Amino acid sequence: MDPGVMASIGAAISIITCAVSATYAIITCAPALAAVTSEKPELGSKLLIAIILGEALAIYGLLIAFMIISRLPSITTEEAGLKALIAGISMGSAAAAASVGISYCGPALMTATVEKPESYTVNILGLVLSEALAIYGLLIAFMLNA
Amino acid sequence: MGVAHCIDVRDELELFDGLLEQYEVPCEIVTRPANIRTRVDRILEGLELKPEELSDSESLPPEKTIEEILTEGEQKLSEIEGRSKPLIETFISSSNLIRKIDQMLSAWKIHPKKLLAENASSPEELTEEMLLKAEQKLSDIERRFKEMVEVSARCSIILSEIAQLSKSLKVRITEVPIGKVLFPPAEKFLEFIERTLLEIESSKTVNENRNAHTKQLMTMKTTITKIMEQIPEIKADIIKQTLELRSLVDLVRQSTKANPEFKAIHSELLSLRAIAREIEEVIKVENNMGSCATTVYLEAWVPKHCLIKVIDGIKKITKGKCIIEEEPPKPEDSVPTVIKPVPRFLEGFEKLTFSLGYPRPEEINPVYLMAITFPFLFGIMFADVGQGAILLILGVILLYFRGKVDINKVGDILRYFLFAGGLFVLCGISAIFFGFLFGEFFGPSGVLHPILLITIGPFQIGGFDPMHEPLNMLRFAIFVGVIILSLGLVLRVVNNIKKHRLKLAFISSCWIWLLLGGFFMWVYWGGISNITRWFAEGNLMLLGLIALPALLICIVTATSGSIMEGIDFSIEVLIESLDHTISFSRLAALFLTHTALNYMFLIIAGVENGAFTLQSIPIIMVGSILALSIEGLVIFVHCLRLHWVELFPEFYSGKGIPYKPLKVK
Repeated sequence: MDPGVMASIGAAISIITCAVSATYAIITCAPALAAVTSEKPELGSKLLIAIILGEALAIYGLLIAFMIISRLPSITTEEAGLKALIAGISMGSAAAAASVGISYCGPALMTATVEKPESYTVNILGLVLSEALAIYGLLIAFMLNA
Repeated sequence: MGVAHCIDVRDELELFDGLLEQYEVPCEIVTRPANIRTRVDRILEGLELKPEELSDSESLPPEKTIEEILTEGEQKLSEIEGRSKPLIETFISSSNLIRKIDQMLSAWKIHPKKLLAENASSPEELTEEMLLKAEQKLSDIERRFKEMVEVSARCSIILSEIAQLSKSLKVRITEVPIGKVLFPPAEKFLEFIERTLLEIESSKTVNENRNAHTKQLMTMKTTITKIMEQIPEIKADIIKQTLELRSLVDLVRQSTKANPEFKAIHSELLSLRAIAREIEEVIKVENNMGSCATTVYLEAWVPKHCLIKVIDGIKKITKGKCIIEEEPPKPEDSVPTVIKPVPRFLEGFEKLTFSLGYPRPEEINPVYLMAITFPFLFGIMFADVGQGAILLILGVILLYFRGKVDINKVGDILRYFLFAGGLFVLCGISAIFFGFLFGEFFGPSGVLHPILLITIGPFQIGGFDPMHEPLNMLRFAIFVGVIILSLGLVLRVVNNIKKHRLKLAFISSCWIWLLLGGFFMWVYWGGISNITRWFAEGNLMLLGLIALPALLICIVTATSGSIMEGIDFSIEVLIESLDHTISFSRLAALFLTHTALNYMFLIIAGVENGAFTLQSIPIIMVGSILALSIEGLVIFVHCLRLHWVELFPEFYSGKGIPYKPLKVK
């Protein structure tokens, strides 16, 4: 396959998968947040973190896709094209994994925090650790692409 | 919480067998201040005033009991009620009048606001008489208006009849001079005209009277036209009178409001309301205390430096008839923490820190630490001279408004922003600083060149372009992470020493040893890819820097528990050090995300080598707004996460209880 096409596919995979992951995380967390804030509006700012971390996934995807596209003219060998494709795939998959983690842990964190606000510190770990997966994917994709 | 454990007497009743009897504040006293307040509010409503809080109400007279004060207040209130009755009546009748006038005006399709009549002369008569007169005048006006409408309708009918008649009679009607016509026309006058018209109509076939009819018709038409001509004038006059009446009534109201009596009643009502409120607070506080008919019992936490003052105060109030027992906190007590207020500049950091939890009394309050580390980390991720300057300006504006605006009267989101003024300023300064190090001005636009600050081993602080050398940036991020984590661990050692837990302090020092040792290994052998050489050539170093501290942690933990616990904990330490350090690589990742976002807009705008053209400015503005809002938010959250998950748990439990002293009001 033409290396440029391969790289473009990588960029597309990166942004599409990340966008879908971000929506999945947001559509599971936002209703839970809405329910929480109708009971206790003061918790809203504290729990907004789940939605923002979900949204960040899309930005990571954008970054990798953008980097691949900005390097398109210099991707001439088969190897470079393949690397770009794999970078896109690894970013997308890591984001998907992180999204599943966030969409399970976010609502659980919210419901637990309404009952016991002091449990927030412990419960947020699940959320941030699943978000870290996306960061790891981002770093690897970045190194593959650099 | 900090006050007083309230004593539930019911549990102790059996123990003391009738010595302590449950004694509650009687229901009547609880409801009386509330009653006074509702009565005061009702009068205020009648006087069209808002119930406001008095800012400087005098405190309750100490020598009287609550009951006496309440009775006094009730007497005063009924007296005021009597005095305010005529005033309230005036207000009610005048507002009724105004409403009526407004209704009339709107029925006539006139906007009262548009035609404000000039003020009438100030009234000198008594207000009640004035209002009565105004009412009469109003009904008079109403009658006149009705009459006018009727007359105008009849006149127009007559006119059209005349026109018809004149057509059928085939006469041309011209004007005839005529004397002044009165308005309103006499009652019979219109009837007379109508009758004449009928006569003419019935006799129109007869030709002989034609001339006479023509003349009659002419006269009639002119008269009616004259009458019609007068109508607009009359209408204007009526409207003017109505408006005058309205302003008169308004004036009456204003003069009533300016009355010294009115003002006196107002201030008295407000002070009465404040007293009632204070009594309610006192009762609420008293309900928290265990009491029997003659004795009150309370327990409270008191800060050490206030102790003598509090004891003296209690002795003074009770005239020495009291027993005070001082007790230092027992180890099993959860002592509330006295939280020192921070300067207003840093209140954003205080809010962020305390949303995780409050410090324990012996713990270091991390607000000041956070005020340094938070902008530091934020600046690394948000490094940009231009956008940092925007952030700085925004912060200064917010700080300016923070002093001007009443914080309780603004919306939720605006309030958060106002709190965060100092945070914005510090983050902006830090972003500008790192922007210079990495050469960012609205993205990697080429305006600035990276400035090398210092080189420590393989770590360059600044002086490279992270877009093209991401590994350098990653190394830098890990370096920052290790510094921040060891700072947290040092604070943990300090906390443990403060708590006199030397064993835990030793474990924490070993942890620092492990962390820095591992970091040194990583640097010395050139990264994780050479991990085989760690074990081959560097085996002694590995033993000394990683295995030994891990073993020490394991042994020391095992001495206070089982051996399994020790192994467990040392593995946890190993994993946690690795995990938390790697987590700081997000500094690099988010920096690159931020740069890439800006770079994208630079490319779209066609900016090369720092040449910002005029056309590129709108696109750069859009990009900057996006970067400031979305990226700023994401970076903010990641900063918070680094503090809450990586840094704070090293030394901060967040399980303290804030000290909330007993307050009346």
